[in-house]
Amino acid sequence: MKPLHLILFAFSLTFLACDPQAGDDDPDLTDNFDREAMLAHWADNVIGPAVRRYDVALADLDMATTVYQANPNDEHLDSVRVRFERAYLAWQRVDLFAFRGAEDSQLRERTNTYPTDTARLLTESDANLELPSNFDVQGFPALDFLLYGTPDPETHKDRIAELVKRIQDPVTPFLLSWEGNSRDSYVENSGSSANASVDRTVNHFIFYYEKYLRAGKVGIPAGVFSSDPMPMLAEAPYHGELSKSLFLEALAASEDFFTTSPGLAEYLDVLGVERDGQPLSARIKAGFADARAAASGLDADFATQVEDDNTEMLQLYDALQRNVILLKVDMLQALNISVDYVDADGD
Amino acid sequence: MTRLKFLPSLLLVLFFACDDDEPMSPTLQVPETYTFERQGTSTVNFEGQQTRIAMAEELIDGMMVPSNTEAELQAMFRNEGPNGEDVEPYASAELNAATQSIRSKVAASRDYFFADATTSALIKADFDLWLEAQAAEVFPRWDELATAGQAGQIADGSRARYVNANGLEYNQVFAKSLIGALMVDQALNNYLSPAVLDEADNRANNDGGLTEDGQPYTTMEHKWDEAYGYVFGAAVDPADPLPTLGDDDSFLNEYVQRVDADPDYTGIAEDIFDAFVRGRAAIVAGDYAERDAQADIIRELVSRVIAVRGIFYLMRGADAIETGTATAGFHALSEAYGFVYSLQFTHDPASDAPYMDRAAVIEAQHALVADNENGLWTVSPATIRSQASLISDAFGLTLAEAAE
Repeated sequence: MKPLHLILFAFSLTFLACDPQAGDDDPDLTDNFDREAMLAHWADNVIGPAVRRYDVALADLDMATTVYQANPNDEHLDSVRVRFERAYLAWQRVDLFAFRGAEDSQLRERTNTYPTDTARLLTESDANLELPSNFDVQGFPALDFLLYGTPDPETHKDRIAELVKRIQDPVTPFLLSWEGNSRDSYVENSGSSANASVDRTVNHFIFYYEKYLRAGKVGIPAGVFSSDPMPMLAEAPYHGELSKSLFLEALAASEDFFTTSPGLAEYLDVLGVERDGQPLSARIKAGFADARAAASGLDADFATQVEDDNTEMLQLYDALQRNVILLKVDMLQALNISVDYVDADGD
Repeated sequence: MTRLKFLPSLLLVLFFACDDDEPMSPTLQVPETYTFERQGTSTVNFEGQQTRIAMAEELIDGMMVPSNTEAELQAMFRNEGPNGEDVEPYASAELNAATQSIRSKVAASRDYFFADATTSALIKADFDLWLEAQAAEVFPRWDELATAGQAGQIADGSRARYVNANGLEYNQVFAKSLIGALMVDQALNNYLSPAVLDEADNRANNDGGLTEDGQPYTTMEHKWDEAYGYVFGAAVDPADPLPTLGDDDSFLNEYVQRVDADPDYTGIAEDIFDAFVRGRAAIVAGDYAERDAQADIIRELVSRVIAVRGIFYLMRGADAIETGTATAGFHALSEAYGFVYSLQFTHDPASDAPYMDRAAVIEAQHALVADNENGLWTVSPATIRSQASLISDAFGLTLAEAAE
């Protein structure tokens, strides 16, 4: 984190030197970008609709599991599986916005902590799912195992229904935080400080990109943080052909959030931010395209990919990593946003 | 080692050379790695430190196994039963066969506790209490959610942490306090102390190459090695510990690396290592002024590691309280609480006293926990930051540099 702060410091010195009237804690006075309009667009046209589509997808999944519970047969199992895929994909458009109440309800942790602990999932049927120590026996990863990794999902039909409801529980309150009264407080908090909406949203976005998209979906199974590739740490390993789709949806969610207008790309353009003679926004967009291209030849199942040819997976990781630097260093510096998180040191 | 780092020690050598009429000390033979031999046999030995570090690893793991009893944890801490009887509390047979005890070396340094058995006993009692409380308060609520005033689990990202009624993780408090009370206290205030290095006939024996009975090393060489062992003894290759630094133990080795990884303190690990090698070479050469100069470098730098890490976790905990959930800062603050405790074992070479004494440490800990209703559940970020600021002032550090 330190280099960033040094750069920020150097930057603000330069900045002040050019314009002695600009206060570096109040960039609102120094740019003509309508931050409130950007926040309204994010809430009303990006985040709110993504959460609503996810909510609907979960309601469909819940319906299908209820039917399967009452009448377990292959047709109803297929119906559950199809809706599981849809809901898991819809989650990828929500995950990057898991803040504002989502932290207290532990939305992300209860929804998508993987790898799931299959031994405990099978033996501890009465596990208290409210406990943090049981994040790894619930959520989509647990459903992935029960629906695709067990010889007879029917024997788990009650558990499947229970786990779906558990995923669903926090979503309605979360949706309300974007569509209800607190939507306005989010939009109006348009200043520049650690707790202002732009700073918090962008911090969460980059934290997500770095930790969950880059590391969780790609780097960890590719063995970047261990001595060998770890196929069982890929997302949805039991389904067998879903992890690449989940990744691509998550990548598209990040890319769309960056490029949506009014949004971060436009903000950088208004500020005239360039790197190496190109608009920074164009370089970041190119970075997203590079990552998508690097993923194009990969197996539909990342667990299979890291076993067959991990080099291609590492190349995808490297492509993602290049945008971490542009987003976390260059963009944050230009927008005068401080990083509000540090990597856990694992102890 | 860079030329620049030699300068202070060179100056000292010159200074002493001019001051006394003794002949110039012989040129030091400073090896690249921590490797010293007498007639082809290695004279380096710190098995006792490796053993205690390994025992401490098992103990802090044992604090996370809720089926353990207080007696089982105490047996690991003392390596003996309540009546002094032999016990076999460790998973490792080697450790069960060993006679060392962690507890007997807690707050047991020559410089600080030789004439202060009272404080030594109070400190040992703190560690006893944390073990007792983990078993009595936290284990029974292992599968319950913590709330303000109630022990249990909290979420830290996707994993669970286990806290007491005040939000403190006893295992973190214990481990980070042990870094000070065992590793730092033994290394800085005992084995690097002239009172220990020069005890009895140590100088004459070292000058004459008179080794301990049946051992290849002189007593003074061995004392110095024992200090080294508390920092680098658990390394994959203890003679060349820097390549694996940070991965070798959960105590001083780990946090020397963490501080070294902060660009503001890059090189501190190498500086500590170099001072150990050079000081050991000075013992071989019989150059005791140089030895003590290197000991002072180690005392200053290892003390700084504890302070920087304490500040780092305090500032991180304060930030987490502001931007995260109510409990988001508890893990960092539990680590901070232990590092703050460890400050009383630091050693300022200018005063031969801790940079922050026990009274100041207790005051800081009270501000963090005891002064607030339900402890960390209600402590304010401003209070936390002011404690960090006190530490940075006491150590002459820059708060912002240590914080990131």
